[in-house]
Amino acid sequence: MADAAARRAVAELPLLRAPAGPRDREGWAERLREEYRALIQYVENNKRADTDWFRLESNPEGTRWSGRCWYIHELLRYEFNIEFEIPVTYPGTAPEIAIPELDGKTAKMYRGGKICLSDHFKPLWARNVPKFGLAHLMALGLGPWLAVEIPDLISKGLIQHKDK
Amino acid sequence: MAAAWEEIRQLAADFQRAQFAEVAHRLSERNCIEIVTKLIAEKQLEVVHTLDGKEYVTPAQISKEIRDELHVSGGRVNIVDLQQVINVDLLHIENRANDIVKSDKGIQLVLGQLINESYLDQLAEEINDKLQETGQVTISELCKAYDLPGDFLLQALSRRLGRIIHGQLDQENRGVIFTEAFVSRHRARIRGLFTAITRPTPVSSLITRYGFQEHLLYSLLEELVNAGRLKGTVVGGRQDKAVFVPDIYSRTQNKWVDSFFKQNGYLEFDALYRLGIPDPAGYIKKRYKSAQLLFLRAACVGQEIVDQVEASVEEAISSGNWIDVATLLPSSLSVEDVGILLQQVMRSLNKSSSGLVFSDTIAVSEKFLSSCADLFSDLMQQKAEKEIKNNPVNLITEEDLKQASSLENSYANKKDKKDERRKKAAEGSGSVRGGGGGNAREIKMKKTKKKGRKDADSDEESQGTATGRNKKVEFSFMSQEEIEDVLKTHVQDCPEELITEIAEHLRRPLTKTYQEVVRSVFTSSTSSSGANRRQAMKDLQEEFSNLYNNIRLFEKGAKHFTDDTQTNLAKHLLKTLCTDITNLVFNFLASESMMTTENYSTITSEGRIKILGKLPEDTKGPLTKLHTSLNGKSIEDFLSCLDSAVDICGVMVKKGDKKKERQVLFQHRQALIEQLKVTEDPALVLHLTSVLLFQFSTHCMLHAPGRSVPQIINFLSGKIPEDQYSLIVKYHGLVVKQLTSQTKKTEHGDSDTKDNMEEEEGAESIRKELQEITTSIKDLVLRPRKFSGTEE
Repeated sequence: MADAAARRAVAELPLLRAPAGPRDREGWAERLREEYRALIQYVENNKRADTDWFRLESNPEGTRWSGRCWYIHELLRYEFNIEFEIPVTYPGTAPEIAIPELDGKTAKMYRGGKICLSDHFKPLWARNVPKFGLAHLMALGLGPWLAVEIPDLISKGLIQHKDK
Repeated sequence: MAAAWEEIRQLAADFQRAQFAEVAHRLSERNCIEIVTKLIAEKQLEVVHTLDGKEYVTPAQISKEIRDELHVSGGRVNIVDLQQVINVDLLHIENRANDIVKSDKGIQLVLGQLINESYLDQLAEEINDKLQETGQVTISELCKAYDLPGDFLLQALSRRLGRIIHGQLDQENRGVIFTEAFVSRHRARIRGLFTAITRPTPVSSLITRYGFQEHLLYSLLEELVNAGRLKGTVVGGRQDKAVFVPDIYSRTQNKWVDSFFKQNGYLEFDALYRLGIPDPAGYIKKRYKSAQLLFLRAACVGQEIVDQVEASVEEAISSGNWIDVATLLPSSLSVEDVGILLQQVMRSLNKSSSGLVFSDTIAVSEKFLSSCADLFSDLMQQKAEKEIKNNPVNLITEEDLKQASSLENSYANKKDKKDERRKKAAEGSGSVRGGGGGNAREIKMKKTKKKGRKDADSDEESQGTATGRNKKVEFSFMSQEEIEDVLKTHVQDCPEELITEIAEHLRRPLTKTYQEVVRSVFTSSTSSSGANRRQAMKDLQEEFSNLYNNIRLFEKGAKHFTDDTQTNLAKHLLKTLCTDITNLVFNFLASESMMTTENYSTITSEGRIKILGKLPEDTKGPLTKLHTSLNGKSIEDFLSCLDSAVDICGVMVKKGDKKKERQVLFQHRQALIEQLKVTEDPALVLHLTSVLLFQFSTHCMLHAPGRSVPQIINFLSGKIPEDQYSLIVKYHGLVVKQLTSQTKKTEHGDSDTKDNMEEEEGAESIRKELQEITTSIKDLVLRPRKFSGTEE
């Protein structure tokens, strides 16, 4: 599912090495450091390529993340809030990103606004544990989902630009 | 452990920083171009892309670059060159350049080139250098050298004249710039040259000779002339034919013209031409505005001359004379001009007096003309009478022509015949009207012929009554030459041409009056003959009887001869007396039918035929017979014809009685003797003597030709005494000898002198002998008269 641009962007990201979840205090710190470095790298890359598309921040422990993402469709920018928690089984399982605003508007979403990434992303993630991290999650999970779902939702009239 | 979390916090902060760092907005080239085009289309952005498409340039930048380029290239730059440097579309450059020119007064766009003031200043300096060097520059040269339009250059330079360029622009011809020095040098030369000129001189030749600047020359010349420094005028404007005429020249010219006119009262255009005045008539008109001048073809004449001519003409007309105006006028006036002048004068005189102009220059009064015409009235009368007498045929033909069909030819023929006859008559009679008269007649004949034809053409209406008679014969009174001759003898001091013209003028009226005179004379003569009919009849009878008796007597005499001689004599008689009597009859008949024949003795056989044609049928027959019998041999025939003819005429023919016969015989003898007394010609003496002797011996009259003399002498033998007969025979021999020698002489005029001498001697001796015998021969007849008289 991931297109060529996404693959190229992922290829430029550093791979992670520490296979530790939040439970492992020692290992989590190491893991979190790597996560940040990868995210910084990704953001910087995006900025350079003028393809910046989200903002993220976490609680001090690095277990709860929230932020905003946006998608530009027909010269209009649609912004959505996003949030997700690092599961305890992390990095064995990928976090589930939720877009509460779109809850109930699309079939490809679990209750609570969690986007459905099982089909393509989960096998990919499973194959790359522990090398994939949050940056990869954004690039290969949320990004493609937005690119598919948002135009569809807009054409169905389920999403209205906030200016209108 | 804490350090690790610290590091994480730091990383989180870094992450946030990274996220909020400025986004490097990157657009693809494609988008960029699209955006820019969209902006340009929406007029939100004003940029121009370069020719290679790699850059956008704002108009302001273009302007700046243009200015920079202009500066770099020294104040003058071609827009096309700019395009290559700035590398944008020419259109934008042009627009910007126009904006620049509009906004900046110091920059101009000329011929696709931007030029600023500093360049022009520099240009002016260069030009100034050149000007100071050569003294003058022409704008056209500069145009070529600097490749700039003349108007622009002129404008640019004229603003710098006196500031940068030290010189002046020619006021008249704004294409040349001079320095003061150059101008003053020129002025000095022109002043000098034109001061020295004393004759009208074409300016163009001076230009080529002294190398003046043409336009400068004209303006300076004008200036100098206007200022009075040069005394003269420029004639002919500024073209090639302009001529400088110095005052001194025109002054002398005027002086000459004035004095000539004052002296002579006229001016010849030709003379003025020679003086170099191109339009003499205009010149004269300008110069003598007040004077009343008469302009002729090649001259003009003052009032005095006109007055003079007028006075003379008036005098001539009032005194009934003529005047040749040409003698009053200067000889240089052409005949044509004199004619014009005279016409003018005549026109002004016309009201009061009447006169005519002949041969252009001669005025003739009507009085003079009528006096000239009067000269002819007597002549006309005489001539008319003569014409009536001499020329019956003319009158006859006049009537005749009514019927004649082949008019012109027959007329000419008749005329010719008439001429021939006239000549014959003239020779025969040896009268004063000799060959000359015949010639004159011929000329006249031609004239009348021409006249007749002309009349038929032009005078148709005048003789409209005559339908078939369009060829009316005119009796021309006198030929041109004859009229001239008459005039010459009567009018003294006339020039030939005047005589000729007057003659020409008079000829027609004279001919016309002459026609009338002829007609009146003719009618009067016929009427008078009608009145004196009886007298005429009597005369005719008298004459007729005389002739008739003579013929009979002659016939009787002729019968004494043998056959041969008799026929000869009869023929002779027919030719002479019988013809006369026939003519008498014809003449009488002709006058009966209103035809006049002048003299019956001159009627020829043609005349008779002509008259015959005119006669009524009943008289025609006998008369025709009579006419033909003239050519016969027998007198009896003739006499019988005559008798029948005479019956018609109603003439009583008195048969001669004895007494009368004797009287006639006597008269005839007397006449012969008288003739014999005066004659000296031996042949005639012989002839007369033999005839007389015949009469003495036979008491019959003999009418014999000279040819029959030998037969007569033969006949006389035995009838007269022997001595007389021998004398006559001898005389006859001598006469024959003389005649033969004479004919020989004429034949061999140039034979040798010896022969001549001998013959001459012979002739001499014969003549002597003849002279001796002549008296005795004469005596033969003169002396026996007594005894024969006594015998009777």
